[in-house]
Amino acid sequence: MSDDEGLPGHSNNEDLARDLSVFDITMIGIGAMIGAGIFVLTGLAAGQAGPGLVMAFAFNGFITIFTGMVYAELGSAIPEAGGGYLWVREALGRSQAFLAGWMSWFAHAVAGSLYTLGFGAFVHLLLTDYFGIVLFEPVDLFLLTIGPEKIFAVFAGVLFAYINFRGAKETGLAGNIVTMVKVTVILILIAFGLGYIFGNPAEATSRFQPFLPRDLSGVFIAMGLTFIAFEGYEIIVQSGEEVVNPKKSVPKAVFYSMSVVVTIYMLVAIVLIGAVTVTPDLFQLAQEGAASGAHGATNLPPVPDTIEDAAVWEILGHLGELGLARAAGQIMPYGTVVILVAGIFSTLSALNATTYSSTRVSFAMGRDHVLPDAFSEVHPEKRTPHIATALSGALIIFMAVALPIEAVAAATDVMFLLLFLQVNYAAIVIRREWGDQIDYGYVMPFFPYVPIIGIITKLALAVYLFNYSPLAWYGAIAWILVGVGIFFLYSRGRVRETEAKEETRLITEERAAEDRGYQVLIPIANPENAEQLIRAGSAVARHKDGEVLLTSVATVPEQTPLSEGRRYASEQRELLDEAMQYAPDDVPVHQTVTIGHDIGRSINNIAYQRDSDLVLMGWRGQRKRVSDYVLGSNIDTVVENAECDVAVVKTDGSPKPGRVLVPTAGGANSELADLFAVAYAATGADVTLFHVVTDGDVDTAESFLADKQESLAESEIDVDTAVQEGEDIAKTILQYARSEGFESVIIGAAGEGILRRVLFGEVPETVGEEFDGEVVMVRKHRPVHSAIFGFLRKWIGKGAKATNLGESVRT
Amino acid sequence: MVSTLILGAILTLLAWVGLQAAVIHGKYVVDKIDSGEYQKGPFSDAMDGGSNE
Repeated sequence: MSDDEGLPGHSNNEDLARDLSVFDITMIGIGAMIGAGIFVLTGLAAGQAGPGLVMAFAFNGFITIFTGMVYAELGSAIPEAGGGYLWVREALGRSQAFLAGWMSWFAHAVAGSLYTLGFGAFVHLLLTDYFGIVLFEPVDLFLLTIGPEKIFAVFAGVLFAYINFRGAKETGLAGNIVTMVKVTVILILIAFGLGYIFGNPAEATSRFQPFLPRDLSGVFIAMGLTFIAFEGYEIIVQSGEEVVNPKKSVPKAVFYSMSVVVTIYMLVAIVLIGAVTVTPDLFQLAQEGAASGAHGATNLPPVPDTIEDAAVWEILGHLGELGLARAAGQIMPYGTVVILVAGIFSTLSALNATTYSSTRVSFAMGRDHVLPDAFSEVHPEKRTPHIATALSGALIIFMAVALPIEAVAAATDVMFLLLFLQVNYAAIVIRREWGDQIDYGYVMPFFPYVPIIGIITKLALAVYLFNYSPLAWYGAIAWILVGVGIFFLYSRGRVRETEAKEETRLITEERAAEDRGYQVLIPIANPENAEQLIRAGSAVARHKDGEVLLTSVATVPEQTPLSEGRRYASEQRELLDEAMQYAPDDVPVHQTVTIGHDIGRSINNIAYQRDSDLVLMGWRGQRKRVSDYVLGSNIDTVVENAECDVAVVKTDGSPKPGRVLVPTAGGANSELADLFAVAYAATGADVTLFHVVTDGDVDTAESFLADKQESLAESEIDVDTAVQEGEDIAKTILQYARSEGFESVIIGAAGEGILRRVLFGEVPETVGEEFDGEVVMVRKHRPVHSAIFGFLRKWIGKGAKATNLGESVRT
Repeated sequence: MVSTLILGAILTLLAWVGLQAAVIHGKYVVDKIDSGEYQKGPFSDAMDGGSNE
């Protein structure tokens, strides 16, 4: 059990680069919940609840919010990868945690099986009905019946296990777009359906009667069956350690996603029942489905003999996982094919998410030594938990092949419901044991009644599902018994060893940064340039009476939790230790290793988290002429998205510059260049302010520089001034700097680009590339300006392009 | 006699409203805790419900 080293103090020596916003994780939650559930399960559930399907979704939303509040509270307080498993471990001890993790692994994996089967069914229908491709008939192999759907399902399972092993990432933006597309498709379907219902109110209303053809028991079964669709908060909290300001963001995302998703599900149910007519085609397909026993036609009344006696919900029930797609053909033009395509994408993205989350859970169990250490092994090259991924993939595929789709759905629901029982109980224990020590971002009302209601409702639903699929319960019980066996035979002894080790571990503490107001953040990757960067950054920090924070970024793939990056942080730590030798005595210099998925974004996030005022980066001095990047992927990312001032130093390894040229033309960026100039002058450099005249008005230019010179003199900083005429500004600067023997050029950014990537502008970048000495390019942060340009670039320009993983920062 | 459909519709609506009320209350609590104005939680005096971000 955790003591005061445990739950309230989950602190570490490194910074995790948080890069997900409340919008991002809300979309992750919505994506998970709108995902495959609505496409795959709606038909099955309609067959159980009848028109009461609308009520089933509303009730599910209502009872789910009790556990949602628990997740919001714990997710805001302990935002770490691991979610429910972690909380149960902290609150109830490792033996309970083993059970929670064991069930969670199964639940996520079997959810993946459900999505592979949904994918298989959709692809099969698309190929046969729309492309006329004849596929082989199902064949019996021992106890299993293998049809084309199962082959497609296996293919998807293998593919996504491989993708997760490779560590290829789906960028946040791409994920958001996929979610928006599928939500849009569903909203269009709803709009068409409601249009029909409002146009034919009497006919539509009649389809809702009788409202509960299978009584409330049908509603309860439908609730249990579709419960998996509302477990997006488990996915949201899994991302907790990667969220900016998780205390606020995690609970809000839980609530927002629940609100949106439940409303959409209810509207889909209304449209599905109210706007669909039983046509001869649908009737025939339902009869064929019932005869073949396919499409999850378990525990359903038989299809009526005549079409006049058949209700929509009965037909949908026998169409099973294809119910929504078939019905959509009536609701809107090309409805079936649109829903099939959206369903294929949704099942694949949901499969990706479940492969990822089941891998994470089994990986965490391996790390906690309750499963063999192989589970926590990380591939040396890919840096992904390859064995946990392979075993999770195997479990997904095995369950998809071995069980019919409705049993897979029910088994998933049973496991999630049992897992949520434990989480609700853990929330009570955590609040009672550590409530006054935890920094909550949300607290549930009516404690402890909310989690108690959560426990009772989940237990009732889980038990009720036995009526629907005893096979699912037998499978669940078998899995739990196997888990209990493994725990007593293997894990229990290892738990004791682990706890003994943890009791004696040494805790090291990072030297806390002083609050000196102004902070210069310097990312370091190359020790050769550390001296030059620290010298430049320290000069500015000294002038502003501030401090320097050195950081080096260790990256891990998206599939690996950030906290796992710690095992790769030793190289970064050594690098920073070495760089500290260049720290001046009169400026506070601190160091921290940053762990993130992407170097550029990590630097920006750490600057945001540490409230840095200036990020100072190194650059080799070569522009990218053949790629979309200007100075390099990481520098581009930082410069374009930083929420503070940015300086890029072309490093030449030169010692302290004696003569510094500062081309200036006024404006915010020039003011930042002036700051550098003053800071350099304070260290003894000879600074010359320089202006290139292109319109012949030399007097105005001289007067402009004289004013600047005068104002600096008031601060006891002496600088020279020079004016030159020339048509090409960059050429003139370069000629003057070379002819006068300057060693350093400090220049502010000029210009912004929307459709083209422009970081500092043509003049600074040309000077930066062609000048042989040190060049410092600076860009002032302008919040509103940057936000507008950032938005435009993201949606119009090339800023939406993902950055590469694994590239090192150039210094 | 109220029909099953009407009763079902009322219960459905109540459940949906209950959910939305929980959501709105949740957002309210999060914002209040962030601004340090929420006092109903299990906070110690040192934390006072305020943000430590």
